[in-house]
Amino acid sequence: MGTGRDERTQVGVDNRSDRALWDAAVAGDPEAFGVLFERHARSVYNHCFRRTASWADAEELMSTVFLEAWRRRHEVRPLASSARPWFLGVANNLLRNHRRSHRRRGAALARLAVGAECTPDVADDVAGRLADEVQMARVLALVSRLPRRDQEVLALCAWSELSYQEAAAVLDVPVGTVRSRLARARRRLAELSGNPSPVADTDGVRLTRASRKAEEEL
Amino acid sequence: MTEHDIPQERDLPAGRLLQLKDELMTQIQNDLDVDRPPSPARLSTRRGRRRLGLVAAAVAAGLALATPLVLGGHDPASANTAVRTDDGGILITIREGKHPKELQQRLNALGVPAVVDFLESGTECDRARSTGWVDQPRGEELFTWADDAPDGESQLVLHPDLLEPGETAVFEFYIDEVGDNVASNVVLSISDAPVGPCTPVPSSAIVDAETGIAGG
Repeated sequence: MGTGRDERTQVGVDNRSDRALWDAAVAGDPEAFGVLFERHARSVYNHCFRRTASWADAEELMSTVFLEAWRRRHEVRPLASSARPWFLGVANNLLRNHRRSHRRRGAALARLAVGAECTPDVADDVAGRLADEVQMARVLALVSRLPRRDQEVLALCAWSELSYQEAAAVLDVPVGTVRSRLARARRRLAELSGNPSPVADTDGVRLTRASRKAEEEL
Repeated sequence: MTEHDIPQERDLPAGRLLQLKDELMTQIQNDLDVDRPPSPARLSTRRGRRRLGLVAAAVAAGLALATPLVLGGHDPASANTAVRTDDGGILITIREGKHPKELQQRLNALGVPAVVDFLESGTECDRARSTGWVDQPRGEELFTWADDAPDGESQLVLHPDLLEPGETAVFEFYIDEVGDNVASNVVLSISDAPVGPCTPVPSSAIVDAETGIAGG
């Protein structure tokens, strides 16, 4: 099952590039940052969900990501045309410190229904989100057996569809390290899921025993 | 079950995107208000007890909390202390925005590789003092505020077991003092290379002595 990521939130009346918006935000224009929020909130929201298996926590983390990014806006200028990798990088940092709170989760789930009539659509949405959380929790139970750094690469590249170059910039590691971590993660997950077939890296190059050893030494 | 079995992406619940954006923009505006230099009239109205508002910000973790502190003219030996707790943490008590090297020595004596500096607000140590800054300093797992600090003191809890061998905890306290009010922002960084002396350089990270809130 894919992520189904689309760019609907990038459609807006402001046609400036992310970089132009970022520069405007750094210059003190909060509205420009608001446009960046509208463009990338959905992506960050879903990325955080895939790391927490909680829509409520994802919502809270997403808000924190943008506030943190605003406060650190002077520190970086996104090199890529999209600011999305930078936001996911901030999310990555926050997620490392995230402790799941069932209390918050319950409160936020309750909030989903507050103020809304109990229409079939709302009920379906709540039920669907709960099903998402159960499903994602199962995936994370598997993925959590990987080293944290391999989990991060998997989430960024395989789930949030960053390029190797973007993930390398987010994690501040060489592109080759991203490749090897992702290949190692996929190989290990295949073993854990009972399908330890020969694994190729994402460029289709068959891994040799020697190259595996080299990766494990990274 | 494999890593491919992830749910489809979803939008935020109806209305939440705009609501969250409104909340964000409000917070941003608050930040901008804090960043603005206080007017002379505003400064002239501030009186009262001398206090130190501490705002902690672990560099990459976004930890930002505030707590008041009464300054009492402590001597270097008692101004700021560090003691080991039962769970292996280090409880750092800040009573005064002075005497950083005494605090550093206390931490070092407890086996914590740490460097402590106090600077004026609007300055920070030149990052060239180290060639090995660690980008992900582990945030609030490494460094938290103690919830039950005595009135008039600020207590931080450092968990040095989360430092990797060869890493140094680098504390920079930024001090702002206007009249009877003092504010400080403390930032914790981690270096895995030797840390040289602090050379102050201009910084956008400022603290407001009136509100005790950090910005920048």
